[in-house]
Amino acid sequence: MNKKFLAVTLGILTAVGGFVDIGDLVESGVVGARYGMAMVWVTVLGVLGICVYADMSGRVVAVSGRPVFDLIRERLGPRMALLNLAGSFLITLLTVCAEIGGVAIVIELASGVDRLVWVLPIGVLIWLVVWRVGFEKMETGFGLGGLAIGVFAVAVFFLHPDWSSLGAQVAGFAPPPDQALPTYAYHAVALFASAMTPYEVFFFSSGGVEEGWTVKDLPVQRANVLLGFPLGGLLALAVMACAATVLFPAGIDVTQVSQVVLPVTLALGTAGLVIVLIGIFAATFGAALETGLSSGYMLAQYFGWEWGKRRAPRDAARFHVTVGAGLLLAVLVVQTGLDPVGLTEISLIFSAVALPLTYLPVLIVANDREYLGKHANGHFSNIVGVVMLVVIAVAALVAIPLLIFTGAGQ
Amino acid sequence: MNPWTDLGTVDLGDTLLDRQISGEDGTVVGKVDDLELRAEGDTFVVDALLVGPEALADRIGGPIGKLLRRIGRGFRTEAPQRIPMNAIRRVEPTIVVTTAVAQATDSPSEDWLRRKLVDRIPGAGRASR
Amino acid sequence: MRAGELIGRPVRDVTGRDLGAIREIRAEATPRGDGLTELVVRGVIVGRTRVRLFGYQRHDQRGPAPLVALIRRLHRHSRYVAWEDVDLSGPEVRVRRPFAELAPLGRP
Repeated sequence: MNKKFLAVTLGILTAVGGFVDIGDLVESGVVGARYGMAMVWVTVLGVLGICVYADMSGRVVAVSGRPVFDLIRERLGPRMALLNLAGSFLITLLTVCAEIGGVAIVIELASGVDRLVWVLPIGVLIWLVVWRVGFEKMETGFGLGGLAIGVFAVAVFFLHPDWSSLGAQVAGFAPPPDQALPTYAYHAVALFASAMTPYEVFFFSSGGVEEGWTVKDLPVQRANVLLGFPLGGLLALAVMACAATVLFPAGIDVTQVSQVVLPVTLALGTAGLVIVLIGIFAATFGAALETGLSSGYMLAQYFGWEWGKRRAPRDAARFHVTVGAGLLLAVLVVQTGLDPVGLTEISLIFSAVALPLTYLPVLIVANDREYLGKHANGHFSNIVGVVMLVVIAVAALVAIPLLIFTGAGQ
Repeated sequence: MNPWTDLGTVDLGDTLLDRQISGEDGTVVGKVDDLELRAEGDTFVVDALLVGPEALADRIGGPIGKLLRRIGRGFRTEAPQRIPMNAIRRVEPTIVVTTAVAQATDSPSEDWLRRKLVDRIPGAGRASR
Repeated sequence: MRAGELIGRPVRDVTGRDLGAIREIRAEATPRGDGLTELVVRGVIVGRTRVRLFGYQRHDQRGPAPLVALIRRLHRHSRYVAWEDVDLSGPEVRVRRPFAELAPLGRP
């Protein structure tokens, strides 16, 4: 009984720590600095969306043994699925770039050595972990390490914010009067996309196959999702609250990761800084692994190849070549010195565009009794799923126009 | 062991095309990239499952299909593999074929990449742990 | 002949009316003399919309309701054509009946 409890707790903690990546970090900081806590509703909406869709994809893989992307080609047909693949693949690679950039920045903040020096070593290290480190070990290790981001929550209290004013911002919804509405909408879309990035459900369900989930694991997996992801969302909100308390009143806009971290240093000194850097390192490195693997999962599952870390590399040759090539490409892109924060925001906006193609097939498959039997969607999942799909469609439609109109959020 | 007993009517695009094929022992074979139809009397009979980038490229068609075909050839793929219908043991939710047929189905591109690239890296023979 | 050569091919009815294209091939599991079962092509589904049926013609695929309603609406002009009425001899696929005589898709 104790062992089961430990396993469940571990799973939840891993989900919490694994929730935040460079996108959540940066965008929560940017939004907190510009709008205070006015966008809490966006994070809540995003967390609701990812919870219900991760639950669906977890059910699909636990009951049918097939990950979600595997089923997209037979649902959408080869042409539409190829479009989906192309979009998701490119965006996931863009996300890998952003994550690697994030890791490089953290090491730069810790060591003082320019981040461009670290890009190639990080890429090699990621590849080595993909090549040799077991899936569960990898997930648990980096997930638990990411929990150190919780220091943001501690920092909020030490910063002595005006709680009633923060509360008013949350309830206020609207942007402060001096901020333009299109820019507000742009950042809302980016923040929403950071919670629902396409690779998440693909990785989650592929991970289910890697870990060998069966129907017996369903209750544990549901607990991981329904407890872990919202708690992870709270971590993102803590980042937002720190920015809202320190940067927002001072009118400082976030353009660098160091600014996002500043409130923690102010509240907790060097100790806080060390902890938060460890946390961000674990979260972004873990996310780089997840996105790198996801690019391989997607391609392999579209074409029907053998895939996965649970196979010896020589038995999943095309999968490993894909992951390796993707990592190499990402390293090359980041090495050109592109601004990582800007890269992150762009990746989020393009993610928003890909969301409908990502989540519609999940909703369809989750209703298929041939695959899921009695575990197919009930009314609640369907209602929330359809509502979220409408939100996703709206976000996808306005993302690029807003990007152009606001000049990437200026 | 008739995989079609409960089915009666079979919509080929829905039930067969683009489904994952695996062996009874779990061997991953590939996706059903197309179906080979044999003329019989006034109509056609499904003769075999086709697996291979060339078959998929033909179905996708257009410039993307051409690109796929060229990429496939670059990775040393050949004519599509044929899986005869009588090798099929189960059809829903995925297509399961006999182990013998699953093992016999080649993946030229997988073999080529394994030889040229993956096998040359140390540790390629062991799964990560 | 491959299934991919039939699916997607434009179709006209006997009057020349554009029916869209072949979207699906319907076969029947038919026992042969020697105990084996074959899939014999019995007809095709033709339609103007490129949006797939997503498996909604099968009874296992149910809901969510708005999506089912949307798919049904998109396929309201799709029709089932028995193989005897399909004419592959010319450059275009022709159906030997007028559109009005063709059976709509059954309700799942």
